[in-house]
Amino acid sequence: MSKYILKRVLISILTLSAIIFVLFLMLDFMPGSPFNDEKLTAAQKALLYTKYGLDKPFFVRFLKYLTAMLKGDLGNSYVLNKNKAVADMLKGPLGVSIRVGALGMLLGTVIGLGLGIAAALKHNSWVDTLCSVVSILGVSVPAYVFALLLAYFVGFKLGWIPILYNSKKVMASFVGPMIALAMSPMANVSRFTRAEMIDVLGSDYILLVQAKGVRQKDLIMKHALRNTLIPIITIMGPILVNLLTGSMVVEKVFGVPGIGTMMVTAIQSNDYNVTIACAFVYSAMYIVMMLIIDIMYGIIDPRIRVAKEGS
Amino acid sequence: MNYRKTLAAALALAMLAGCSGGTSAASTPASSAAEPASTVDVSAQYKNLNFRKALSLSIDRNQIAELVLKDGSIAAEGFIPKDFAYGPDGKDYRETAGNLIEYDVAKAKELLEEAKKELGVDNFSVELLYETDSEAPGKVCAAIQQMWQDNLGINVTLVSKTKKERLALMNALTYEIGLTRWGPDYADPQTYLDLFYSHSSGYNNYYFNDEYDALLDKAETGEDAADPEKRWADMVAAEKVIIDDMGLIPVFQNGSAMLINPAVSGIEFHNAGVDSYREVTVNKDDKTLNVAINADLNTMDHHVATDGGSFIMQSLCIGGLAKLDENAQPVEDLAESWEISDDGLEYTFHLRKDAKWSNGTPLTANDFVFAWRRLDDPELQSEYAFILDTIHVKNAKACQEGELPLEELGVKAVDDNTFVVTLDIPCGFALGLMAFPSFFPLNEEFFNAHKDTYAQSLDDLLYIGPYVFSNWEENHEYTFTKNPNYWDAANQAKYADEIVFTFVSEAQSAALSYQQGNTDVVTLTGDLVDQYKSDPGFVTRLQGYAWRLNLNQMIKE
Amino acid sequence: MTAKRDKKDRVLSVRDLNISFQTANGKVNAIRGVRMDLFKGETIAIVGESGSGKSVTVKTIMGILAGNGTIESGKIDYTFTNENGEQEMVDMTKLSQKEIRYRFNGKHIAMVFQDPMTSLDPTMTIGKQITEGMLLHENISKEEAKNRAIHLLEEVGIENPEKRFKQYPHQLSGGMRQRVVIAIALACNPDILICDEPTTALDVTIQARILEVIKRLQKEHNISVIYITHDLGVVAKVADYVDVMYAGRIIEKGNINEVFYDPRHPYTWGLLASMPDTDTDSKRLFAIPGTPPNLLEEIVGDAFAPRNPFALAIDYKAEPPMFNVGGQHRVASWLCDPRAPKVELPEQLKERLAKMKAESERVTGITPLQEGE
Repeated sequence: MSKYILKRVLISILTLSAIIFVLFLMLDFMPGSPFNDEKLTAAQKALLYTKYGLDKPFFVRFLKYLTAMLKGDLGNSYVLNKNKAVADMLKGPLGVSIRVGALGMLLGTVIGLGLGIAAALKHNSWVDTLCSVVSILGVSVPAYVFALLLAYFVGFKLGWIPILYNSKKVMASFVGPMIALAMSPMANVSRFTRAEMIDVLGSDYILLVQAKGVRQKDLIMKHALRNTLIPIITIMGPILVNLLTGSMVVEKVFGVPGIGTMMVTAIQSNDYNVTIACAFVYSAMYIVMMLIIDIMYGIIDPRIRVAKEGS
Repeated sequence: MNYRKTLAAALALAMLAGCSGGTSAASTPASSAAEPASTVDVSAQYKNLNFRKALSLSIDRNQIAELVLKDGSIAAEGFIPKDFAYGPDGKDYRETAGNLIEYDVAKAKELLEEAKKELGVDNFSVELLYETDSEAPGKVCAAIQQMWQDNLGINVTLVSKTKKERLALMNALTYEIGLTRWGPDYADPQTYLDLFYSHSSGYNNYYFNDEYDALLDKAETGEDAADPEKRWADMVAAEKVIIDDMGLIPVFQNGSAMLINPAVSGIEFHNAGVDSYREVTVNKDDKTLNVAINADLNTMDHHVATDGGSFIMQSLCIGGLAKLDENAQPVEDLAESWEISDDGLEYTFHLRKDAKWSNGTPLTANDFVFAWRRLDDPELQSEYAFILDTIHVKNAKACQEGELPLEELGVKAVDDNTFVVTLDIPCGFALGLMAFPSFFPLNEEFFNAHKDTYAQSLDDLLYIGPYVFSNWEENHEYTFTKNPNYWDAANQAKYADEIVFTFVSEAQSAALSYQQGNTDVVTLTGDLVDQYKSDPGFVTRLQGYAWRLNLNQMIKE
Repeated sequence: MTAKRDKKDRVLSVRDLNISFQTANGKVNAIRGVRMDLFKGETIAIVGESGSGKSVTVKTIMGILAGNGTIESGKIDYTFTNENGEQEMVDMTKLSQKEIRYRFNGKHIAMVFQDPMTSLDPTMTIGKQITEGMLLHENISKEEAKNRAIHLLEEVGIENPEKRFKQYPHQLSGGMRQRVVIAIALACNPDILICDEPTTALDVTIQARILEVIKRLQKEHNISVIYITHDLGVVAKVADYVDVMYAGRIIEKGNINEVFYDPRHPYTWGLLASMPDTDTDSKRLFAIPGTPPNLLEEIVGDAFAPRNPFALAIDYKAEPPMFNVGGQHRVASWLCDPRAPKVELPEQLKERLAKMKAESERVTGITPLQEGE
């Protein structure tokens, strides 16, 4: 298992380096520059390019960036927070985004699982209908619209949650973004759980468990749930992608000072170093999550774990 | 496990594509415009004066301002916007220059026919480029497209790009007609007129007019430079020349719709320069002013900043030799008085003796000398270094380009309280610019103690203005509280105790927060105007931004 | 092999069982008047095509009938020794599925399913799956349960039981998994073991060994076994008594010799003829044309009549009663009516049955158990 994890970690690091390369390449192709203020003359622009080393050839810049990165230096911001170290800029927003994202994911997954299981057990009942409605809404209503609806009805009309992020009431401020972000995972997880659970409950091994006379509660907790969870874990990757992209718009609506807001601003203003760092952080979060999912998969599914141990 | 890798890379790609490429997907590349079927040289139609005039005459600017935008924007009456620059007689520039813009469809049709004859074509197609970063340009261009099609039968293709892409295309001359804007840095028509001065810089690269250049030469550096009346008349004439020749087509002057809590008064909006929140009265229990800003604070370093939001916050913390009063006229601030030599080339500022930095150090003339030299320092490469040359500070350009040492810059400290500025050429608007943050002082000793981290955290800031920066939550909230050591603290007592700027990029959320009473000042986007126009706090303000169409006479493939 | 059936040894008695299913297309009468007995220590086989109702019958006994199934009438009397060591008889049709499951499943009635590849929980160790039932039904410690499970694994012929105890199903071959399933079934010493096509999913070579395991353990533990199968080859090897089902009804029953070597129902002939055999061309023997009837519709007369080349006029009008043709042999076919014309067993099938009989008499005893799957 440890050998397997080590291998996965190494692959992840390689992947990340590849991503930085691609990001660098893409930024090179992006139109405009960090200094495309109409007020700048061509001569001034050239001087600014020299100052920030942007006049150097692509590979020189790339290698310079990569070596600096290994020392934890992500360069300085050109626009967003002029001349400030990007690594310092990321800390705060990253923490906020991770907290909101993790809470959203957790809430969505837990409710999704509960709803899916309930729907599968009470097939064709009101819970089942609710589950279908939630999954249709969650999949079809974009996170942005949902966030706005939440801000309007729950935030403004009911006044239950702050409309805008308030650093003095962090937990309360997280409620709106968290629920908005939870919708997509909730919808996907409930839909998958329901389908998987129905599948598992109709399987031969559940019949055998029934034939053993096992209590319904144990049947669900010890057998059905575990087998349902395995395929659910595989969809966590795509769900995470949804969550990450959703976080950008949700953060915008609720004014959450997260990395999503920062990345959108950075891209719009061609702040290269910040854009790369944000995209890198997103990719890293994704890869780390996939790594965790892989390892969890091993723990929960003996077919994977045991095969790994054997090899 | 390979698919995970692919997925991750795809994710990164998708994220970037989703943010940057979304808008351009639906648009046509500008270069595909040159259809050989209609004319051999697309530039030719834009070189035709009658065609350019026809285009301008067929735009109903009032309709655009009042029915399309509805946010307080007004129809352009010329290249120079309204209510932003005032002549030696104290009258608004536009009042003196008059309305140069006509809407006359019949005449437009007539001129178009002539253009057809001159160019030997049956009809015209044009491509209209605009940016999608905000809503207004798209709406305006759709309206213009309709007007040109209906009034002139011209086939108009819209090209939408992000702002930076639009700027890149326009810089590269790979566009036909582009909707663009200019925000003035100072209250003088020169900030606009210079754009089309062929020798000045790279702003205009498609239109050259000797008569126009000659008038500007005369007004800015030549025989009329020292004579405010003549200078003003030259500029009025220059504007008329470029409008008569349709070097550009003015469209509208930007308005902005806002929600301002009726309990709040005293926010000063300056159509040129920086809005002031220094003397705001808040009739609420806590005397806290909550402002939603739609662009984030970029930097507290006033020599590095380029954006309005940063400038506003810097103005709270520091201040200049002068500040602008409600009529946008310069009045004493850190300088208690000044004299201008008869030739208009030497400005002597007498600094306040009671002004102290927040660390107890008194303000000295050297704080200005050091600050101005830093602004001009080729090492720093400030994007606003040009503004020293704009007011013709002696040797500003040469020092900035590294040809002369910074000591040669035309500033000196005669004694601790006397700061002298020497100009190459007289400048009528130099005093007004003293309120602009680029000209604010900087304490050398403090700066040297902080150097690389200067202005990057609360510990790296020094104050001499009415407020201090008390809570800096990056990407989110910026709180300013009263500066107890402010020299005019007694007078300042009646104004807001605390000013909180919160970065909210979603205007709808900010407006809801306003309705809840948690936010006092919100800038609305165009789509929210109808929803909020009956709110008692709804106001529109005119901005100095003037939008125009550039007609590219030198199209490159 | 065929023992005398004594009423006091009767474990299970099914009488006039009628079961229907509510489907989207209407009501399906899956079980129509089934009567069946199971005696202590004997093996009965329920034979029929898929859809004949054989699985439904046993699932009802196990209390795992699908949710849309209803017992319309009839009774299933089950006689067992209760917690106080007394003989008790219950009518299972009067109990809820949950009651059957919690009271009898595993403990009194166990089941071996068709496909060993899918009938074990892939996420649980073999050991846990075996001991789960023990720990639930009996008041024993984990340690004791483990010892018993390992012993069971040994009994079903698995080498290295300690190692296997900790392994997961995917680490075992199909044959071994079926042995594990058998071990699970026997974990709580049940009275009745139901084997639903226990060997169809397995290799032919392994089939025989699994059957032998069941047979041996049946003897050792004195269990009554019900086989559900469509494979008469299996029946010949293991059963004492045979019930042939067609369209939800038992159409021929009797001890193994009666049904196998003197079959009377043309459907049974067809089944016997379809047994794989390398020597004879089975198509020429006797093939049943057509398909089983649609149980959504009301059946008039003999359900088999449309497929019966020997059908009589009465077959289309009235359902045949069970004719007693001697011994324990009963046949539901009008051909057995004394008034019916004599229909002879096809000649080739006759030859084949004779051959089978000779062979079965030659083979005695139990082949060695250990296998290297």
